[in-house]
Amino acid sequence: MSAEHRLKRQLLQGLTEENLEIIRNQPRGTIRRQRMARIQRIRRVVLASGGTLGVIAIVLLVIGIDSAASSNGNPTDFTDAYFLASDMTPPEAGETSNNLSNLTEMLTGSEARAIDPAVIPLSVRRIVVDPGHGGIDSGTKLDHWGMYESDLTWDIAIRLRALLERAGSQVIMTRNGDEKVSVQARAEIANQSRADLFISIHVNWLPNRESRGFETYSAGTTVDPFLKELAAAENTDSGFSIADTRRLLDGIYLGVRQQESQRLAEWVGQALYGTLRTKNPEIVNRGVRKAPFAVLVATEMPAILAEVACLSNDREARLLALPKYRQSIAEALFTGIQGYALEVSAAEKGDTT
Amino acid sequence: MTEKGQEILIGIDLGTSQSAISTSTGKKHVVASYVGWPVDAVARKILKKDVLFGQEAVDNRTMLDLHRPLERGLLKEGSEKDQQAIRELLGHLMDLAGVSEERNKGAKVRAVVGVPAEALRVNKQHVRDAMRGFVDGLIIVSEPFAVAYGLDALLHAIVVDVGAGTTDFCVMRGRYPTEEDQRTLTNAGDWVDEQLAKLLKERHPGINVSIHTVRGWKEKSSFMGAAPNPVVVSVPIAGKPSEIDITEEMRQACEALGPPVAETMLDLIAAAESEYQEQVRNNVILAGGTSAIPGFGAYLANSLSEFGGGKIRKVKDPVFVGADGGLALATDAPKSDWEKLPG
Repeated sequence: MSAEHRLKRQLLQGLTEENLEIIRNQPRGTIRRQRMARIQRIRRVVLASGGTLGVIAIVLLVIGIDSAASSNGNPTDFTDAYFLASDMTPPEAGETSNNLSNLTEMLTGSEARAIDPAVIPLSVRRIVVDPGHGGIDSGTKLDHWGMYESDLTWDIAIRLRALLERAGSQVIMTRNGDEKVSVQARAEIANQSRADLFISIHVNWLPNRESRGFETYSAGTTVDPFLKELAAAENTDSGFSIADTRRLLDGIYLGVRQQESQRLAEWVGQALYGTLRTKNPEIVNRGVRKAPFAVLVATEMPAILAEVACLSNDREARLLALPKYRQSIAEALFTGIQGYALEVSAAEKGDTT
Repeated sequence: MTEKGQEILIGIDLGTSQSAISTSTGKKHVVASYVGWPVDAVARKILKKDVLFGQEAVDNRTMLDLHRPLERGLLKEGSEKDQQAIRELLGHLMDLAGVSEERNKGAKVRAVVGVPAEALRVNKQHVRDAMRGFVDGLIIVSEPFAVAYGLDALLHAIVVDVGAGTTDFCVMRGRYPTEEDQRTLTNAGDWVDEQLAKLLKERHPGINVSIHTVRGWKEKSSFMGAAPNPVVVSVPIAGKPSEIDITEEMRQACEALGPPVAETMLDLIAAAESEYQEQVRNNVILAGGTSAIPGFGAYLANSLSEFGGGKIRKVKDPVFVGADGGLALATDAPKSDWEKLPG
């Protein structure tokens, strides 16, 4: 096979996988990661067993994959077989549930059971929860209803903290009540605590009052004028100088952190959609986006910012006023974090078994 | 004659301004992405049609509920009418190419549809929903990737696809493009129209002209750099028919497109592995209708000069290059993949 033909085959495989992930509502790259993990496993078996034993092991693995695919009624196919044989199956559209035992079952294939205190894997144990705004910086607001973004983010954050702590995680809050904390200070709290994850909670305000829904962000540059404006607004009084910000932005691309943040944002986005759409059927997943929010750029761990709803939309504002809805948002954030954590853990396990 | 089980492969470039289809049966069609329904019984009687497409719809817009269902290269969200319009448009394209007829006779139709590089998953899902029932297999692809694939520019190349709604970029690095390899800007043909309309409004506050007319002027007389000819148009100002010279406004609006496109192109080239950057610079593929603005290619080539120079290659057939790329992908995709990706 010529190099060009091989390359074309590889490109087509990538295209097919991307389309399958869209159909299955899986985060981008899921199938590829599963395929790579499987290949790693086969490689390890070959290396560990050597010669003939290795070949037998491969044959057995392939037969195992083949029967898994056939028993599901699907044509024999390696991509699907990897998917079926995997220990790690991200939630399908609409399956993401606020029932934690359901999620655990989905992710591990085991029977539904009560929350395991160690359900958040060791690799993601210390989590920084950042309730956006606070103190004199109330964020967006609906004055006539007395609704302030800083109050809403605080309320959701403490609900999330309770869920995470119940699941055995250590939670660090960036503020302790209605107080103003600069973005720089928030990032320092996260970095000094050597946290595994950082999640910043915000409530959106969109110029088009009809727009609704949520969006999740990881750090990155953007050319979208609206996002530039939004990032500039959120970065006001960040405590960082322009030079600091430029240095930090240059550093975004150096590590894999950005990719991890993107994965976390995808998980949280899916969980928000899956959990909230039953209560808010017209909810819109405004997507996983990149923007240079200083708080994301300056933190050293996988970090995301979630705009969990639009206060500018009358219906969503009414929903946000309900404690039950805010609890659902917290549960969705928890589900997304948990899904990401289990995926990281499975990937790590896959590399060592 | 179609036999049951016969397979027809198609590539579709679903564009903001125009949509094109290429089929494995050798048919090619392009239609302006406009759909219009007669506003009332009188209009229907005059037009003698239930729905009009493309230029015919634009020409009769006063009698139509006119929709341009793609905005910035994506399906508009939340409007049932626009969803219906996109289905009508796709159906019309398939009718023009004779695909619907063949499918009714039992042929299996498999389509690759191009969308902007950074289209959100939700938008890709919308395209998938809109295509439901029209085809038996469906692959959604990033448009500049389809262009690159169709031109066999698989390695160390960059596609700059300047359309009406979006400008899409894709660096080919010998792997399936990731998000870092692709960008989408909303600075494109429609954006130039808006700039031109704004500049004209600033100079002639009483000007009364639709965006369709401004677009027509741009399509006829756009340029960057030195004006080949003065651009003079007839337009009512404060109700009075007037002839005005819009050469300077045209130049400014068109030239405004250069910097964001050049900057993004250079940014993506700079992100490629340093040892291959020169190859990428020498393999810049310029596609899309708006790239036909005279002087645009020269502007991009000039922007490369301070980074060691490079070569801009304009595609021969900017109208069908995306649809042809989609068709190439459809042809090369293994049957087993098609079975997993139903329409």
